[in-house]
Amino acid sequence: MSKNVWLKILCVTAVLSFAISACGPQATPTPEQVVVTENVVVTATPVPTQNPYDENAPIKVWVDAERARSVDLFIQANPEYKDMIQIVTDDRGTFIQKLLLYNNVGSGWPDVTFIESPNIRLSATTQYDHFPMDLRNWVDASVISQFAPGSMDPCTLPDGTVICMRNDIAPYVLFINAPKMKEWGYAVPTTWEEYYALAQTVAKDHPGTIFGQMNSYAAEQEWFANSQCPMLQPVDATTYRVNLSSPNCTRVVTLLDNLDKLGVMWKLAPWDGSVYTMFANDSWLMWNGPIWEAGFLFPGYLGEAGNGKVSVAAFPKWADQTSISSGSGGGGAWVMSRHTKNPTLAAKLIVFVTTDLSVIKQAPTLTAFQPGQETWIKDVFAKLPLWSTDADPIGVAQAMSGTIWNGIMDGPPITGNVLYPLWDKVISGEKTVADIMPDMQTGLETEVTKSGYNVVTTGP
Amino acid sequence: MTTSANVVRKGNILERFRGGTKGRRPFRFNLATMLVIPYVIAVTLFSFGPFVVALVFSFSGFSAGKPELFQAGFKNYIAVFSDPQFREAYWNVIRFSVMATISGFIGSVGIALVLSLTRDRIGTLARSIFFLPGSINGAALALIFIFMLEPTVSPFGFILRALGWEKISDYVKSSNAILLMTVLRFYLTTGGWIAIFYSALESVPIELVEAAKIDGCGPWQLSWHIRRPVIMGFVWFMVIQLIAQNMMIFGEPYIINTALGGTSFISPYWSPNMLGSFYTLRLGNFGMSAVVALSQVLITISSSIFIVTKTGAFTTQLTD
Repeated sequence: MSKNVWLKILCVTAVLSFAISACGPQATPTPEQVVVTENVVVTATPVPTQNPYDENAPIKVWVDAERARSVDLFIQANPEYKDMIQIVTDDRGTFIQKLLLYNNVGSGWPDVTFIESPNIRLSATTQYDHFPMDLRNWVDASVISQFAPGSMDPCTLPDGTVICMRNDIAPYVLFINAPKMKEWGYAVPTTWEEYYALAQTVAKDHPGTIFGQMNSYAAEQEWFANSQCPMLQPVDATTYRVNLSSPNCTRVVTLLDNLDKLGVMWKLAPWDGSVYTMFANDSWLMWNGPIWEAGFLFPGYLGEAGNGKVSVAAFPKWADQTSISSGSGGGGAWVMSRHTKNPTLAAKLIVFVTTDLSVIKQAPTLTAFQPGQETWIKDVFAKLPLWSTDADPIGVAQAMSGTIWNGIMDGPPITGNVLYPLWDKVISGEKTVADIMPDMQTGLETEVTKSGYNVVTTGP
Repeated sequence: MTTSANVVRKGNILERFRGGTKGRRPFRFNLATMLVIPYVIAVTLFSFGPFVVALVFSFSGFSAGKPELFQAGFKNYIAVFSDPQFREAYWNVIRFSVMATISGFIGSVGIALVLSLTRDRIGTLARSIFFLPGSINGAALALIFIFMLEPTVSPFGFILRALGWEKISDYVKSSNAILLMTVLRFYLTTGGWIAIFYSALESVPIELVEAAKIDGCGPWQLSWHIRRPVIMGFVWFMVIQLIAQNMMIFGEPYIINTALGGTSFISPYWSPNMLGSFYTLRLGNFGMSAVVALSQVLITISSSIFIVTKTGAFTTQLTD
């Protein structure tokens, strides 16, 4: 056929699309209504004739290799469910895309998934068709209330719906080069004012020593949540607060820039190649990071030679704070699909993997379940070979495990999207932290509005 | 061309309509048409079909992540075009495209011309080496690239350290992003084009080369004045294709952004396609990402029309 005919076909298609869009009927809310009806059936006392669930249906569990071990422990403890649980270990980075696909196709959802809470919060939005099941109907309230204060906040929507169960939390701690600290006779700082004073002393008396790190990895959780800075604070179901001019935020900015000027802070990522060289040269006095770095990174940094040489201390607080707050440098959660056919089994699995001692004892991360924290701290954390004889890992971990502050909560808007490209300029030395704050403020406001929410810039 | 045969054919058409005969004249079966059919099927399924779907989606609403056909009017278009990140992303890829196309052009034509000067084994070896990077795909190349940039582990670390760069952040910054992506693209695209241009240069008729040599052409003059004009039509074809491909860049910056995570020098919306991906994954709004995709289609269609009609790369003896 000739070019003209093809062109005509294309024009007709285009014109047709415009015409239909102008005269099309309004979208009917029927699909939404179906969702609401299903929820009503769930929250009411189940009527046997209308029960859509089947206690013998198999469930699909999407986890990574590490968490697959927890699921295996559940199967070992409950062998009758062995044939009903199918484990899938795809890369959880593709979960959100796959969820869009499943929603459009109408099937294929995994019944239980382990992912980071920002993605779970994203999956709970309208555009993802409210994927998580409300766990209040399937998990006893007494269990939920035993999770560490603040740990379940990312898993709770503003209207109270519990969308996930927290697997682990990662409060921040100070790691200390024990022999060096003893040799130089310094006291471990407990407030940021003391921390800065000590940094000045170290910079003067022992130039070249690394006092800590201020890289971009979860910087908002490490520095700003500790100061209770309202950087991305959920206010209600439709609004976030972004107020970087709050005194809680500006004091952190001043501290970081002052520390940076002294030249004592390491700025690259904890897994950057050059960090290992720095540790090998023993040029560090203190290091700050989430609690899991003790088991994950330090053995690589120091090797066998480092055993018995590291102490740990609670993360400092500001002098006018009554208690320590900490962000969480990580922490995944377990979510149940609201399309599952067997929520009883799914709930049983989720409760087991987040609360059972057999799982907690072999986990590399600190559990959010308070009755189990003692076990992890004593049996896993305290037993790491790094600790020096005068270290008190148990006391420190216990002190930090209840301090999580959730005023900077990712999902759907993500702090990192704005912070990382800007912090990149601080790392390269082009700008100071103070320089990037105005861009951070506007960037975060855009991030919030881009994700479909309103933003307030004052308070609390 | 009107011949008596054609006149006869026209007359027979009427007869065929009325009579439905098996045909007085032999059926002219053109095998060439059959060869094109697989391509037409593929283009319909993977290019034209998705284009129509994108067109439909761009006018559709996506409040629950599922299409409500033709419910959105022009809302998606307005939302995308008024988004400052959309303009910023296009500004990024326009600058990137200019740099990458110029370097690709000079690189591939220049290296091909130089290679056509060689007549020895080193030249043959060099040809194979230059072609190699083009045979790796973009995503793998991006990962290798991240590794190569790290002064502590890169095989070229001694050069980086000699330049005073001990850490990757000493020279890799978000302001350098375009330059770095250009270098990456150079390795990816130039290899294939060097091979193509080299063969085109070598296919210049031997009589022309002999005549030029008799007239006293040295090897460089031979390359520049005799061989180069032969390939210029294809060079413009390459330039326009590079411009279009570079504006559509997605794989390499996406991989670098997700692999480097918190230390990435590429923002999550650096290129328009990355922004489109963001619209889909963050907002579940296929309509807005369809608008981004259609803006890219506009670029590729206009460049294709330009290539076919203006560059002379598709002229043959029959069509001039």
